[in-house]
Amino acid sequence: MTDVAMILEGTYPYVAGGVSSWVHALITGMPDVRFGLIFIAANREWEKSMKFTLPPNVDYLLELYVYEMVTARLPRRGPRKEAWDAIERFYFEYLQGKFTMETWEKLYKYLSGDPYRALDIAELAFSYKTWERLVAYYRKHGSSVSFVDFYWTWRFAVYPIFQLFCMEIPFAKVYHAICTGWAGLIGVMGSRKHKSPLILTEHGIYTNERKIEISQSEWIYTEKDEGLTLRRDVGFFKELWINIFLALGKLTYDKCSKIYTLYGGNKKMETTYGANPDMIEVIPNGVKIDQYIPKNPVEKPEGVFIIGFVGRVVPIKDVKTFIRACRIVVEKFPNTEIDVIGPYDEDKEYSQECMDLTALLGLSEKMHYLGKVDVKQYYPKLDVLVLTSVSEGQPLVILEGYCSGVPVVATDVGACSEIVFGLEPEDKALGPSGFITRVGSPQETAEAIIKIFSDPELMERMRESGRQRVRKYYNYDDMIKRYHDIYDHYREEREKQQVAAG
Amino acid sequence: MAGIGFKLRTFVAEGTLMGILKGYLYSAVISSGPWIITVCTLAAISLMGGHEKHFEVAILYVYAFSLIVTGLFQFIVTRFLADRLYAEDLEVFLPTFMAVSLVVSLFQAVTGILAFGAMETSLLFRILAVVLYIVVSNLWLSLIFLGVVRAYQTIVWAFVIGSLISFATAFLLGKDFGGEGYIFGFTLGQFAIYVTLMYVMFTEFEAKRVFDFSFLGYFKVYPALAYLGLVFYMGVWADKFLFWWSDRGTVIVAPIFRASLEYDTAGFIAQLSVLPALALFMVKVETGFYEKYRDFYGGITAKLSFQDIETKKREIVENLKSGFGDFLRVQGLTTFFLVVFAPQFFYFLWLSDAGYALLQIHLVAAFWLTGLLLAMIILLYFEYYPQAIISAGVFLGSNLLFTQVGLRWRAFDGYGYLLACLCGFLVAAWFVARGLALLEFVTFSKQ
Repeated sequence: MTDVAMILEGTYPYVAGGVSSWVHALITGMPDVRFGLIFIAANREWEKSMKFTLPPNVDYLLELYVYEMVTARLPRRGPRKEAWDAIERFYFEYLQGKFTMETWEKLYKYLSGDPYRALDIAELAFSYKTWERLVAYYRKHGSSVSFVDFYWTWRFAVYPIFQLFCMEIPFAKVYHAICTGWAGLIGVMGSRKHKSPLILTEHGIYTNERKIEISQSEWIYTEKDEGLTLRRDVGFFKELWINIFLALGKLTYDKCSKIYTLYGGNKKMETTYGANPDMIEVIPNGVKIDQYIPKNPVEKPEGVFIIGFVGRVVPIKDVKTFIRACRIVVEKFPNTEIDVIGPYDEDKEYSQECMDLTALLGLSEKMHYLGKVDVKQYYPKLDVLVLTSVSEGQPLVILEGYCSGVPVVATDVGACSEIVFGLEPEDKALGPSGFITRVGSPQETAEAIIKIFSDPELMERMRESGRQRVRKYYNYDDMIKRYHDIYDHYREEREKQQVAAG
Repeated sequence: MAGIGFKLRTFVAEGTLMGILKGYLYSAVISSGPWIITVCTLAAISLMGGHEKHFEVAILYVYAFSLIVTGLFQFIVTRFLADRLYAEDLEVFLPTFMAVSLVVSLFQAVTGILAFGAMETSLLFRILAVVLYIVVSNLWLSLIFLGVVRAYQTIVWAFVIGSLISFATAFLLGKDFGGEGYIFGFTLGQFAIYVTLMYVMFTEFEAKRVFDFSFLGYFKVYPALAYLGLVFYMGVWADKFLFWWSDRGTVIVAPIFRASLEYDTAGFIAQLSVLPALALFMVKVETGFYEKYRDFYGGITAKLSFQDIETKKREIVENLKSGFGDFLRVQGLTTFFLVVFAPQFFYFLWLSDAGYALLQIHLVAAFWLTGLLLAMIILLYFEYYPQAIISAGVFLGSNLLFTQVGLRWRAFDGYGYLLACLCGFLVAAWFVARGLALLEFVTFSKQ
């Protein structure tokens, strides 16, 4: 019997990345726990290839397609008027950014199973009754926006929900959603159906990511502005879409027994999106410290400072600020080498611009673009690790660097300041393991690096802080243990429930 | 994290919505073309009376059965070609024509030989009959292909000139050589049309392969459309067949070629009376209606508000109402006028006195039949295929029923057909009204 069902949207095992690696690490780290994987995609035509080998403690990999056309009719014997009233209430809430448990319960009652099921997906998506209600909502709230966009927004936002209510979700003792959105909704569904607890771990905040994506998107229709006033709002449809994801997020937060996230900044954001802060616990990512400590002592060249940049050469990492900062540092410390460790073929145009800048600033001999190499070999040699990213989550590279005691100069994004200064008082007491700078300021970044190079005692203190910090708070084994305890706790709760139910 | 949000961009602008506009490529003219031509031909032949009976009856059977058999392909191939035209895939036209022509010609050859082979006439006559049968069937097919690309001028000229050749040659030769002469001349003219249209097709279309049978797939996708032509044409001929095989009919040429000449003639001449209105309506459809129709679907993709979309729909309804209204009034008056003066017309056309009653009934029937045809075409524009075939089915069914039952009483002759046309028209009209009322709903929910 499956212990934990992991609900994954657009990630493991078909997409590579930080989240996928984390999921894989979690599953392989506790071979005694039986996992089920529920993977969500838009529809079957989505191209996929397995990026991981599924560990032996994975019982199944179930793929759910939220936009698949379902034609099979299901038995419907429930009260239709009540069901349609519930649907109407749902539309009203959902398109305004809400999705209360109360409404959800009603939908659950009238859509998901005998004997109360009154409507199925065919009727919900295509019947005249649905159309009437949709047009009524439009007339009331849509005034004169593009109807075709309104219809398709409704269809794309609502169809998956109806679809999911009609799906079979396998039993698990614990449902673990790895983001809100549709994954969260499935978690809510499974949890309700099988009376098992739901927990959530958020790496990036789904609602926020969608909000940014929607605001910037060009494929969502925005009415042209008439007149001279500037539009300060995002437009009817973008707002609609943002509301929809807000509603889904809030629903998941409400149903969770507990919410876990990687760092404190995320916790704050989740709270703004409707989560109860008392339900949120921070469990940071962890690194396998042993793997990052070299077995043999490392040859460090004498009298040379080595600056490390570990990451892909892409705009979000703002490599250009880094290059400019390096120029300033090299003025003061001519004996400096710079290693750019990470692939530079993802955004070839940008990479070329960076290399041109490197040449322009006369750094071509000192700055080495190493491409994709085994970074473990390089950490022990670095004197400082620099991050100039515009946006980050919880950068593992900082933690990996800490294993060898590499001090950090990072921008104030994501979890960086927490990782450098510590979150809890005990953590803070370890002392800073680096500097935090503003985004996009080569001057500040350079000054921080120079401070570290100029003051060997400071450097040593920071190295020590880093080593201790990662061992105490960012240890892979600790992370696994915490989640294992969590799973045990909820598993037992569920088993007790089952016994009590007889 | 990818999320599913990213995938949503696939719905915008492409596929689902643009497909709506495909409908416009359907041409109203193609649907009624073969029927109009048939009617004219048969009426003309009946009017120029006094010649060889086997020629007359051979023509009758050739036209009747070529319509029915090609009817099976007419609508579905039209739809297939319209879709291909929309996708700018013109290469498939010629190979598809070759494929359809091959299938139809083979079928007609086999059935033609079996049927006409039994005719008690000379061998030459029988051979020419089979040849004519195959040629005329292919003419209907080429109408479809040239019609989809709207080569109307070509079609009209080819038929006008070809028909002149047909009739002129037929009479010239017929005087001296009798039945064989008639049929040889006539076939020659039709063959001339065929050659002309083939020439146009082969020069207009480029092709990389000889045959393409992919149109067959459409039979599965649009089953209602596939059998529509078959059902409708059978409906049109059903009463005539029943008459031929009843005591009203006589054997014109042994062994199986029966006809009911008075009854048939009345039918064709009556149908002539509606042609002007039919042609007029066709023109109105191609211009006014089509524009409103396109504005409706175009308006949806142009992101109009719901209220504006409704307004566009209302404009379509207004346009149809006025078009149908005109038809009812103009043709209604004409038919009324013709009915009242039927005896005089009969005398004028040198037909027997007794038959004008039958003509009167058929005049009214033709009126309703044309209404049915027009309503069906409108249904096809909106892709209401099941509704179209149901209307045709009602027409066919009631024709069979009423005619068969009515055979008992001579006084009832023709009324069976009239009632069937009326029933078919009422059903189709009701479908049109309901279809228009639900148009927005159907447009969106179908996708």
